Amino acid sequence: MEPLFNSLEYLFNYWPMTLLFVGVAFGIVVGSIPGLTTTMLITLTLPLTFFMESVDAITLLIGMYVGGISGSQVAATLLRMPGTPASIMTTFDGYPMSQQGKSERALGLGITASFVGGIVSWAFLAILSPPLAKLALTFGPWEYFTMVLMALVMLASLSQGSLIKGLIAACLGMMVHLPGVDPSIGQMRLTFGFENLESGLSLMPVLIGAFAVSQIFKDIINIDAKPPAVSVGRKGMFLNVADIKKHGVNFIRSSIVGTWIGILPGIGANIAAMLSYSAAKSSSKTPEKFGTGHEAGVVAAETANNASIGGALIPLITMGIPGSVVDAILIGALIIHNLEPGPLLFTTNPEIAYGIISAYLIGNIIMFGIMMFAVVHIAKVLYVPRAYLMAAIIMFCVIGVFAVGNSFFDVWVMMIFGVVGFIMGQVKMPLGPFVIGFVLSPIAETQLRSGLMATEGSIMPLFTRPFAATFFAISVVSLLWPLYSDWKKAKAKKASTAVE
Amino acid sequence: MQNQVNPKYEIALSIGLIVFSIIVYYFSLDLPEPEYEPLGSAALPQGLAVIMSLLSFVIIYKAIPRLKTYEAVVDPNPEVMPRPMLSIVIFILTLIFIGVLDFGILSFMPAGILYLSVIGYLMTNRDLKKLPYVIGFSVILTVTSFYIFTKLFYIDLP
Repeated sequence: MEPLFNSLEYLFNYWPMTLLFVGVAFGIVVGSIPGLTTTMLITLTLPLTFFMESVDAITLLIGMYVGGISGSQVAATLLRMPGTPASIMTTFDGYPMSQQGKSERALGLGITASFVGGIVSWAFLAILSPPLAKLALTFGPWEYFTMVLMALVMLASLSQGSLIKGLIAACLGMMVHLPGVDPSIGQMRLTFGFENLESGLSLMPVLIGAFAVSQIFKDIINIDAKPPAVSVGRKGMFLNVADIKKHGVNFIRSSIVGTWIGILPGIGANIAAMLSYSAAKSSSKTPEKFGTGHEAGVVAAETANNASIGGALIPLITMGIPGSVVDAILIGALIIHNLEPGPLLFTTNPEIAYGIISAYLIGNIIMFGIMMFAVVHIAKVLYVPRAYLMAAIIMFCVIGVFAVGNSFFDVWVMMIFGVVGFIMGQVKMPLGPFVIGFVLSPIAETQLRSGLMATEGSIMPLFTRPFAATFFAISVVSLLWPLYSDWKKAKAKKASTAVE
Repeated sequence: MQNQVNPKYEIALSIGLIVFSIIVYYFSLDLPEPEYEPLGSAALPQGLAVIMSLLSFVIIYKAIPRLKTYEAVVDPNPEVMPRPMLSIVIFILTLIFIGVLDFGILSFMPAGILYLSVIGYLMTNRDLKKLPYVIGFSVILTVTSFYIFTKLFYIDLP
């Protein structure tokens, strides 16, 4: 417990606390604006963190993560435009509540639910992470390889679009990481004669291009869209004891669902909210009310999407495996700061591992305070003129990427990946597996090759080592289940057509 | 259905991915045979290229039957007119801005102010009344960014 208290004590210093506050506040504001995502904000902030101490940088980014996911409920509730995909489920009941003149109540429920979800998942994060990191220390190359495989396959099968498109995105992400020095033996490969490719493609231009640039040019298409005017007061935002009792079971169930979904590699807050919403609906005595402005729907969605952050941080700090796309970017941030994400983080850099845990806790408390007291003003952010916002973001993309490597090659790469991201969006190919494939590709390759070297080419450890076999089995099931389910649906459809 | 992707786009992208896979596979043929371990440097690129090609073929196979049945749903009275051309023009202007900086034609300050003013003017529907605000915004943003990055972060902007 001592390292945790030490990191909490450090957080209460002026500078880290300011960064955390700024991070949460920025996250909330950006999360509130439809079209601007948490991923985009964190990606764009990464270049600025080079000049900070690693702990401070991570503190800032965690603050943004918490703020961004929570802030997205504002537009979802008031305008039925989820600020980020994490709040899609909130629109189902939050917006109807708002239409019924209960905006404050919907926001109050959502903010409290976000806070409860965050605190419960923090408890899981703080309790489970140290022993899990110890367990992960016993993992060898086969366990790591199969874990990466599991992350990619699960993300591909559960993210937006089809499984096939998800798998293509993951393969593409891995391929993009190939140019440059082979991480196992140092052999130069796939540079196509370009000197700039010898050091490979950097994380930042690829990330900023795929997430920020593609999103900006997509948003510019609808730049004339103006949200309808909505006014929000403060009355009725705070919940009383009766409210807490009424939604208690939903709070706890959704927190557990959210944390669990977050822990599963590669699956983000949107899936957590979706599953939690379904669980709340199926266990409700009045399921027909869901979707019509039912309080339980808002609670389920908002509790789970925030709880998934804490859950997703568990595999990140214990094994170096991202629980979501934002976590993949956080892994990138750790690497950029010369830190090795994974079980050794607790022994080599405990201030970072425990710093993440502490920042998540305090970030949630700050988020609750800011959202409860400032949501009236935050709602006004929705009406910021898009033209100025977009122009500023493009400028920051260009300067930010240039600043990382002092190279215009990176800026051109960013623009290319902006186009790639845009095209992927147009054909509904998910970006999540692409980014996670890009980040995890070197781990997968290095671990597989080390494993094969140790076993002289045998793949038997995939079946004989308990953890590796379990991860491998989950990967196979995750891959085959959607195909089986599609086949079953097609068969049923054929049968019903034959009967008709 | 509105949320369905145009199969022509899927086929075009899949063909592009297959071509990309072939290029990756072809260039990885030159890599040396494995010497110290069983896989070697070429295994991953070749494996990924094969998997990606196969998956792309599946997309094409699934998209072809939809070519005849697909109908794009266009909203006859959209609330806001989409402006794809504006997006393309701003993309091209961004490329020009980066090129101008990369080839040293202009330094960051004038290029930034000019670029932001032009794209701001275009994004505010070429409203001349808003132009002074756009120019003011461009000057403030460019000058502030320049000083933050050069004085605070010690980045040499061109």
